[in-house]
Amino acid sequence: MKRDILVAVSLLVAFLFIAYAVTVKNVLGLGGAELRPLGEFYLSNAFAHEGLTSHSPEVVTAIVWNYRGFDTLFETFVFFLAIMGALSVLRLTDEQEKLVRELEATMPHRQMDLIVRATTKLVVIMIIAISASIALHGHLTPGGGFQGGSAMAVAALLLFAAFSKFTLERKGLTLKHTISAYAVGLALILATVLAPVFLYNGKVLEINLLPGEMGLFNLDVGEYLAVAFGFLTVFLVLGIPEWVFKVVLRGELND
Amino acid sequence: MNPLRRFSPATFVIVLAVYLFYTGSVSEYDLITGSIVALIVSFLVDHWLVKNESKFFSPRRWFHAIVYGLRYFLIEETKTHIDVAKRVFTLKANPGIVRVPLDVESDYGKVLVANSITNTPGTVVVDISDDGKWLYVHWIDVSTLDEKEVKENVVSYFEDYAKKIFD
Repeated sequence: MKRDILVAVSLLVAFLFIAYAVTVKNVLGLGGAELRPLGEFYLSNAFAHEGLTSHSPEVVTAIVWNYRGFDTLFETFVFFLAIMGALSVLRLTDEQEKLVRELEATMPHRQMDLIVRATTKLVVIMIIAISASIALHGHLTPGGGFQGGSAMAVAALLLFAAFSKFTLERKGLTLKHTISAYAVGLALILATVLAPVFLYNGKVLEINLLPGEMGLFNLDVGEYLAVAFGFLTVFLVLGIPEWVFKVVLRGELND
Repeated sequence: MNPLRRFSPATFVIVLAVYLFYTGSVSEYDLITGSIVALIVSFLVDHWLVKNESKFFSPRRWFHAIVYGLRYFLIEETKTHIDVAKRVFTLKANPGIVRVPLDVESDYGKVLVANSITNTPGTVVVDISDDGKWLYVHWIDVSTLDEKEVKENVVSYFEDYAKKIFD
């Protein structure tokens, strides 16, 4: 007991000492540092009204698009490759998919209790609204298509847990639909990136297609769709139980 | 089926409200994008979230909900907090799990009762029966095992309001 108190007090004293040293005495040189020249350049040039600019008043987004556009483009590309990899490894023929559906139908039907289900309903609707807000407002406030899409995927995962994957598939969220929506998102991104070339002989990634501060709006929408439905595609494929996969693959061996 | 019947105004209002609240501004751009998102969502989910639209738009129910919110968080919470704080110092506890009958009809009403019970210190809902008629509550002070008295002590206050708001 006495030792516990001693440890607690000494930890408290050490914490106070470090806090005092860092904040008041400025030992590490963190506080009150002046803006470095690079930071100053970015701050003064992030939002330009003319030239090659994303027209985004949010500095982080502006820097990402004005100076690191290709980085983001290839990030999307990596994500695309990951999803294609998962799909090609776990692909099934039409007959096998039929078998999977039959096997899944034999599984005991289980769902969470009433309280969880009713709360999940409301929370899922709210998450969808918030994810759309993150994505569509991404060029003005922190956030963006990728973050919004990930939040949207979380909503679907909640539904998986509270109801079941099969309920969602019965309601129409099948692999075919998610892949189509994913393709629409990718097409929208590609169109936004390439459109300036054809529209007014601009350069790739010169993305101020819409007037004023809405320049990044269509990219936001594209990325939102692509990420949300890309994740959903993977979840739907990975959601097939292991034993079902084993039975199907064993059938492949016997052929 | 008429596609317009899929549209749920209550869902539309909820989504738009959450969207604007989270965005933190009410400009033209936000209203337009928010409305589009809310339209899409309300057509997609149909009447899955809100079954009875007229209940959602009834001002009497909203009035009861606000009164309940204020009374619950200001009065009931304070009372139970003081009670549990006393028990912490005096170590007077007689814990156990009791079964309580539920009279609320609607699902959301049951959720409101269950979450209100869990949120007040001293009582936690452990489980709900499959038909939704019984709650299993862990209670810090099981003073009685009589069904009626248990109901009187644990849920009746919440249930009265849940009936007024959701049934």
